[in-house]
Amino acid sequence: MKYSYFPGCAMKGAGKAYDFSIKYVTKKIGMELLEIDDWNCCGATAAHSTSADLALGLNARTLALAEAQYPDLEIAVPCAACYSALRSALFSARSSKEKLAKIQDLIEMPYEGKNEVISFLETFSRPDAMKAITENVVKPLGGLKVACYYGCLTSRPAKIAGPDDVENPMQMDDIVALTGAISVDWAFKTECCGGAHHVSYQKGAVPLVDRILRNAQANGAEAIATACPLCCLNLDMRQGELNKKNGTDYNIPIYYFTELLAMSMGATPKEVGVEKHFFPALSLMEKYLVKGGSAV
Amino acid sequence: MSVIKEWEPKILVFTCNWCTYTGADLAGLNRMKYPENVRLVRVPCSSRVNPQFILRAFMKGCDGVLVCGCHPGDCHYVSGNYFTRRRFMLMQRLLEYNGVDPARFQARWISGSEAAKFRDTMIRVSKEIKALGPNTKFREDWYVKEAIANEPSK
Amino acid sequence: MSRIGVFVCHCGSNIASGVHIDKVVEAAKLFPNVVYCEDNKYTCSEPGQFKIKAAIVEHRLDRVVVCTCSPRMHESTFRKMLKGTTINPYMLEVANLREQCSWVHTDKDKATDKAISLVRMAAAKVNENTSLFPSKIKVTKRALVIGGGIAGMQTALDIADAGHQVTLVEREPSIGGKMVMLDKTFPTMDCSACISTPKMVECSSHPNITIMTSSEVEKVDGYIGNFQAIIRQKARYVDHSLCKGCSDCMDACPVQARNNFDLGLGKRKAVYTLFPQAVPNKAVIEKKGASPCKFNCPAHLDAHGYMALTGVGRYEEALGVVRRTTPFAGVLGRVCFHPCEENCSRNKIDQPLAIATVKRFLADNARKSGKLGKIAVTAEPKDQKIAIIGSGPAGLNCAYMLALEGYKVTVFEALPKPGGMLKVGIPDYRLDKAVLAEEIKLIEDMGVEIKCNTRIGKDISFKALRGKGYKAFFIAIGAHTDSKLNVPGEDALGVVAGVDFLRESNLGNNPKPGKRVIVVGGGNVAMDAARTALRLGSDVTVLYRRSEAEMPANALEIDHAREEGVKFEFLAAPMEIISENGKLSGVKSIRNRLGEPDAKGRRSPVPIPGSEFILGVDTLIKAIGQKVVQEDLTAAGFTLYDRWGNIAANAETKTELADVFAGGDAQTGPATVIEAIAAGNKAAKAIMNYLEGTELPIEPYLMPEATVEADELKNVPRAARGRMPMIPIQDRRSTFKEAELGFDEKTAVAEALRCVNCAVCSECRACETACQSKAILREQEDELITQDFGAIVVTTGYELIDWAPLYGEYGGGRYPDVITGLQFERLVNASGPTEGHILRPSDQTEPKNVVIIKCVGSRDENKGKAYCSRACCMYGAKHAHQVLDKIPDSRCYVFYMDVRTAGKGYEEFYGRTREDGAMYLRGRVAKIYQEGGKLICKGEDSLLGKAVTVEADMVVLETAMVPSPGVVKLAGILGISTDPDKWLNEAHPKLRPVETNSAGIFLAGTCQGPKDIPDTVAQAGAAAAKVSALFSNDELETNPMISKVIDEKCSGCGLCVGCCPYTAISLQEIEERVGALRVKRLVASVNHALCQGCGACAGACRPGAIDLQGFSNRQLLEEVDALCL
Repeated sequence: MKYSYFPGCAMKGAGKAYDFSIKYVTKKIGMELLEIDDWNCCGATAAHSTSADLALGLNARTLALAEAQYPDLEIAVPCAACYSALRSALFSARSSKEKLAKIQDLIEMPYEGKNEVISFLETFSRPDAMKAITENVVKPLGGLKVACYYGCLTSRPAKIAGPDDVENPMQMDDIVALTGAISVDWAFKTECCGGAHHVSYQKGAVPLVDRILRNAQANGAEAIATACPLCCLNLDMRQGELNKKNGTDYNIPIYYFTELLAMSMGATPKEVGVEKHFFPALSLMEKYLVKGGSAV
Repeated sequence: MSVIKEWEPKILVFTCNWCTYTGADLAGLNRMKYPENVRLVRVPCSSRVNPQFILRAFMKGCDGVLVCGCHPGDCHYVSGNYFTRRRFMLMQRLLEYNGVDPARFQARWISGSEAAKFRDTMIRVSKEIKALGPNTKFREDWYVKEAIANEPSK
Repeated sequence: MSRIGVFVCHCGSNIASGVHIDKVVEAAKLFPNVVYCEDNKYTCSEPGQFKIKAAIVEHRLDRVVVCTCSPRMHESTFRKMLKGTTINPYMLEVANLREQCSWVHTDKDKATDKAISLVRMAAAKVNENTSLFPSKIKVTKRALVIGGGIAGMQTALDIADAGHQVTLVEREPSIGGKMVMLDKTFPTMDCSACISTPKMVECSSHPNITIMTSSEVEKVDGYIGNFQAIIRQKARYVDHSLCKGCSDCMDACPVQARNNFDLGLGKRKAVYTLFPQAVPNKAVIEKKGASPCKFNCPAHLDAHGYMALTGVGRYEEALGVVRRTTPFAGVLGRVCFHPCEENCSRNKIDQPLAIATVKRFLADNARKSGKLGKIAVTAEPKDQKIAIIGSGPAGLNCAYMLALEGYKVTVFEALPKPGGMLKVGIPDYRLDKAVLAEEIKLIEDMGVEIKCNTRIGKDISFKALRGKGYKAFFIAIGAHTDSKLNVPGEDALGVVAGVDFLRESNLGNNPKPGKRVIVVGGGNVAMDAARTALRLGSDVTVLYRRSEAEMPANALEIDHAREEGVKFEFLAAPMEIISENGKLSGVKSIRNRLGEPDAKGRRSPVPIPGSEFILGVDTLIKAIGQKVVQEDLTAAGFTLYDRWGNIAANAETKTELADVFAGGDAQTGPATVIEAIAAGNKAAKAIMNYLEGTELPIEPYLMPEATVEADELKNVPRAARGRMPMIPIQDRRSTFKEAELGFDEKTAVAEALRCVNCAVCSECRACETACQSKAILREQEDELITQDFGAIVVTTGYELIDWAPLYGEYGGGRYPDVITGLQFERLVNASGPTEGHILRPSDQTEPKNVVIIKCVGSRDENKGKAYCSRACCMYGAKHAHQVLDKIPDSRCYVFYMDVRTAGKGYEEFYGRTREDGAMYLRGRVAKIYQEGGKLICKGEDSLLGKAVTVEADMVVLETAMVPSPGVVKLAGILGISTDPDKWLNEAHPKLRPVETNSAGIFLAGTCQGPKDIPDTVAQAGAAAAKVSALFSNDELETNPMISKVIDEKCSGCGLCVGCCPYTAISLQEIEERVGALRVKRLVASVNHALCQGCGACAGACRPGAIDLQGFSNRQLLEEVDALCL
C-alpha cells in the first residue's frame, strides 16, 4: 500500500478534518502516501470554465511531476474535484498520440500518461486496505446509520470516473461498513451538491443541498459521510441555515468517511478535527463512541 | 483526352446467394446508388469460389476481385465461410507474392440485411481499385494495354 | 451448337427507366449462340410467360436467359414455366437487371453497358448449363413443435386436426407459456386463463399430440421430410406414470423456493407443479445437484436436508435425516470441524450457516424432551456375524450401518470404555461424555454387542473369531500412540505423550502435570492437551515450529485456547530436552523462519543458526502426531501395513485378506471424526457386498455440486450467524464443564432459515414418505429420446429483458415496488401470489398512485433494444385500466414516447383507458428514487416542455420483449439464422413470414419478433398450414443442384470429405480396369439426400473432379470470361 499523493489545496484549508483523519488512518493501516513535490492546484471547476488548455496544463504538470518522482506508483487523490480534473487530464493524454504531444509542449515537460490516478475510495476499498482496516477497528461505531454521499465528481462522467457503479456506487458503503456503522440505502449518493455555485449562485445551489439532506433523513440516516471537501463544506455549512430559513429539522452531521474510520480505530474526535465542522458533529460521535458495542 | 482518364476498372464480386447477394438486392430495393463498374457473380456459398476463378479473372483483364459471404458464424451452410476465409488468406498472400496489390483481391462479410454496408463497400472498393489503375499482372493482353497506355494523347 | 433465347423485361418502367432496353436487345442478338432475343413489358406475367413458351417452339430454343428482377424473386417462376415446355427447367439463367442494375445506377448509358455485360454473362453461363433432374425423397408425417406456449399449442392442434402426428416439446414442467401467466387480454378484457387453459387440455387429450414437458431439443440431423431429433427428457425425480397430482409431497416439502411462475413475487416448494392448472398436472422436483454442505461432507450427510426441516420446526424428522448416516448427531454437533460450513454459499455474502451447532441442537433438543428414542431396525434379521475391532467413530458407525441391515455385530474394545478417541481423545469441555454414552447406547439398543477390556492379540485373535463363526472383520483401532520428537533426552521423566495425557485425563485418572507445561505441536491434539493442562492448573505454553497460519489445528480451537490463557511460541522447535538428575528442567529450542513451500504447499521451517534459547519446564507434552499400535494386531496375526505404518487397505477399505476390512485413523493416519464415520459407512457397504456377493456402490449416491454464485445472492437479505453462547471464561479456565452451550430453539430455527437452498431440493426425502403412490424417484437421470420428424415448427416465444442492470436510474432492481408488466399480471391474477389484489411487494399495502413507464429497454438503442416491442402500448393501457378499475380513488400516470394502437378495437380501448382517468405524459422517466415510503419519479412532459415529478406507490415498467434464452443455441442446432437482436429470421419478410431458409423448418409467434396474441395465433395457424401442405404428399423433389463426382478425375485424396458440413461425401471403393487388370481404389461419392449444394467441396477439389451442378466450374468460368470482355 504505497501511493504518490496529491493532497490538493483543500487539505491545507477547508478540508483540515479530512487531512487529519487521512493521516491518522493511513498511519494506522500502514498505507504510505508520498506527497508529490511541487504539486500545483488542479484548477478545479474554475480552470476549465476559463480555458480547456489551462485545466489540461495545470493537471498534466502535476501528473508529469508524479511520473518523474514516483514512476511506478499510482497517484492517490482525496478530493473529488482534483480527482476528476487530474483524471480528465490523464484521459486526454491517453486519448491519442497527438493529444499527448500537445500536452507535452503545453507543459514543456516529458510526460507519457503512465501512472493511474485513483480516488481515496479506491485506495481504501482494495482488499489489502480493507483487511488492514478490519484489523485496526477497535471502537466499532455499532449501528450508526450513515448515508454515504459520493458527490458527482467521483462518479461522473462515467468513462472518466472510477471503476465503481455510476448510479449506485458502493465503495464508500463497503468501507464505512467496516467501522461497524450501517450504511443506509438512499437515492442521492451521486447527486450534485451545487459545488462552487454556493459562492456564486446560492439561490440555485442551496435547494440542491436541501433535497440531498431531505432524502438522507427520509432514509433514516443519522450522519452523512463524504469523500470531497467541497461536498462536505456545502452540506455542512448550509444545514443550520436551511433549518433556520425553511424550518426544516435536519440534524445530520457531515463527516469525511476517513473521520469515521479514524474514530473507529480509536482516534479521539478532537484528534481528527471533528469539532471543526460547522454543523455540530461532536455529540453524535461521542454518543456512539461511548455506546461502542459490537459491530453488526 | 487521354485513355487513362476515361478508364473504368472491371471489378468482379463473388457473392453468396444467402447473404451478400440478398444484401445487394436489398440495396436495390432501397434504391441505393453505387458505381456501375462492379459486376456480381452469384454462387451458392462463398466457399464455392475456386482459386482458379480468381486467377482466370485477372488473366482476362479484371482489375479487382472481391469475395463476399455471410458473417463468420452465420453461414447458411454452417461452416462454408470459414473455408473461404482460410483459402482467401492463402490466395491473397500468393497474389501479393506475385506482385498483385492486396487491395485488388479482398474479402468482405456482408449479411442480407446490410444493404448500406454493401453499398459503402462497393463504393470504397471501386474507388481503391480505380486509384490503383489497370491491373498488369497475369494479363494475357497486357502488352496491348501497355501499347495503348503509351500512345501519346491527342 | 446450342440455341439460346434472350428475353429482356421492362418490368413496367422499373428497368426500362434505368436502362436502354432496345440497346440491350440489339447487343444480345450478337452474343454467341443467341438465336433469338425480344423484350417484354412484364415477363413474369401470364402473357409474358406465354410469349417465351411460343418463342421456344418457334425458334427451337434449348436454353433461355431471362433478363429481369432478382433470381431470388422469379427464378422459380420461370423454372415452373419451363416444366411445360421441351426445355429442362435448369436450362435457364436470370440476369438481374433490376435490383442490381436499373435501381442502383443513375447514369443510364453506363447502366445500359452494365446491363449488356450482365446479359452476356448469363448467356455465356447458360451455354454451359445441362439438364438436371430432381430425385424423390419420402416424407415422415410427424411434426416437432418446439415450445408449448400459445403459438406451440395452436400449431400442434391445427396440425393434429389435419390428421398428422405431433410431438410438442416444452422446457418448463407444464405447457401454457406466457399467456397463462396473464390476467386479462386486451382489448376484450377476457380472462387469459379461461381461453388458454382449454387449449392446454385439448392438447393433452388430443390423440395425435404427444406432450413432452421438462424437455429440450438436443440435436437435429437430416433434412426436410427426414429430420431426426434427439430430445432430452430432463430428470423430474417423479415417476409421472405413478404421480396422481395430489399435493401430499408439496405439503411435506420443507423448502421454500423462488416461484418463477410468479416471477419471484411468491414462494413455492422444491417439489411443485408450475401452477394449479398445469398440464400435465404432475409434480416435479427442482434439484440442481448436491448442496455444497452435503457435497463437501466426507460422509455426505444431508446437511441441507436437516437444516430445511429444522427451519420449519420438524426436529424429529431432521434428526432422522442425520441418523440415515450416523447416530452421532450430538457428538458431531460438538466436535466436527464441519467442512460443510467452510463450503456454505453464505460465505459469499456474509457468514456460513452454523450447521454443526444446529445438528447439536437437534440432538440436545431430543434428549431434553426425552425424544432421543430408539432407532428402529426395519431390515430382516440376518444370521451372519461380523466382528469389529475398535469402538471409535469408524468402528461404531460401521456397526450401526450393519445393524440397520439386520446383521449380528460384535464390537471389541481394548479400553474399559467404548468410544475410542471420542472417549479418550477429546476432553470433556469439548464433548460432554454423557452425550457420547447415550448415542453409543442407541447402537447397543439395536442389538450391537460391545465388549470392552478386550484387546485384539491379547484376549482375542482372528483365528479364534473365525472359529466362532465371524464372517467378516473391520479393523478400526485408531492411532493411539505418539510419534517421537527424536531429540536428545526425550525419555526424561516428565516428558509425556499428548494422547496418553489426554487418555489418562479422560478416563478420570486425573494426571498431575507440573506448574510449567510446554506442549510441542500445532494440531488439535496439542490444543486439547494444552487446554486440559491449563484446566489442571498449569501455566501452559505451546511450542510450534511454523507460524500460526500454518497450524493444522481448527482456528476456533486456537482462539479458545488463547482466550483461556494458553501462551504460544511460534516458529520455535525443541532441540534438546534438559534434565537435572533425571528430572526434566528445561527445553533447549531454536527459532525458525519459513522456507520454501513443500509439496503440500506448506512452508517448511528453517532453523536460524545461533538463535537457540532455553525454556524452563516441568512437564513437556509431545503432540506432534499419532501412530497406529501395531503390536496387538501383529500378535493377532495381522501384518499388512503401508510405509507410514498404517494398515494397508484400499479406498474401499479392503485389505489383502478377503474377509478383513480396515478404516479410520488406523488406515488413514490421524484424521477427523467425520472422516472416520465416512470410512465406517464405506466399510459396512464393502462388508455387505462381500457377504452377499453383490457389487453395490460403496459411496453414497451423490449428484454434482450445486454451486451458487455471489451475484445470484445479491438480493438475499443479510443475516448474521447465530452466536454460540459459552460458559464464563473463569469456569472455562478451571473446570471441565462443556465450554459451548449450544443454540436454543429460536436461534437454531433462525439459523436454519438463513439457508439459501443451493440445490433447491434439500434431499430430506420428506416427499418420499409422504407420497402414497411411491412416485418419487430420488436418483432419476436425464433421458435421451430419438425420433424422426418430417417438419419442425419453432415456437420458443419471448422473455422480458433483464432491465435491472441496464436501468440503474430506476433503482437497478433495488426497489421492490418497481415491477415489470408481467409481475403486475401476476399481482392482478386471481391465482397469483396476492389472489388478485394489487398490493405492493414491499409492504403488501394497496398502492394509490401508480406510475407506468413504457418503452423500458425497447426503442432505446443506448441502453436496451432499438426495436419497438409492439404489445407494450396495449398492455400498458390494460394495466392502467386495471389499476383504476380495481383500486378505488387511485391515480395512474403513464409515461410514453408514442402510443401505438394499430389493431382491431385497440385505439378504442386506449381511448376508454384515458376516459377511465389514466394520465398520459409524453416523455421518459429520468430517475426513480425512494423517499419515505414513496417512489419519486422524476421525468419530463415533453409536450409541456416541463420537468415533472410524481410521487408513486408503485411503478410498473413495460419492458421490452427479447428472444427466450437458449434460442441462439437452438438456432445453431437447427441450422437456422437469427437477426442481430437474436430473433429468428423468416425466409422473406413479406412473402414467407413463417418459413425459415432451411426447408422444412417453420416459425410461429414471438420467436420471430415481438407481437401480440392474435398475431401469434394467426402465425401458428399459418405454420400449421405449411406443415400440413408439406405432409400432403408422400414424397418430395430434391434440389438437383448438388455436387457430382467424376470418378476418372478423382484421386481419392478425401479433401472434400472434410469440407462437407453435412457429411454428404464419403470415400467409396470402385473397381476399374487399368490395361489388362482390374484395380480397386477409393473415390469420393456424394449422398444426394444429404448434399445441400453449397459447393465447398468443388472449391477445394484440386483435380476438379467434384463439381457443383448448376454452378459448375465451366459455367462460372464462362461467366467470368464474359464479364471481362
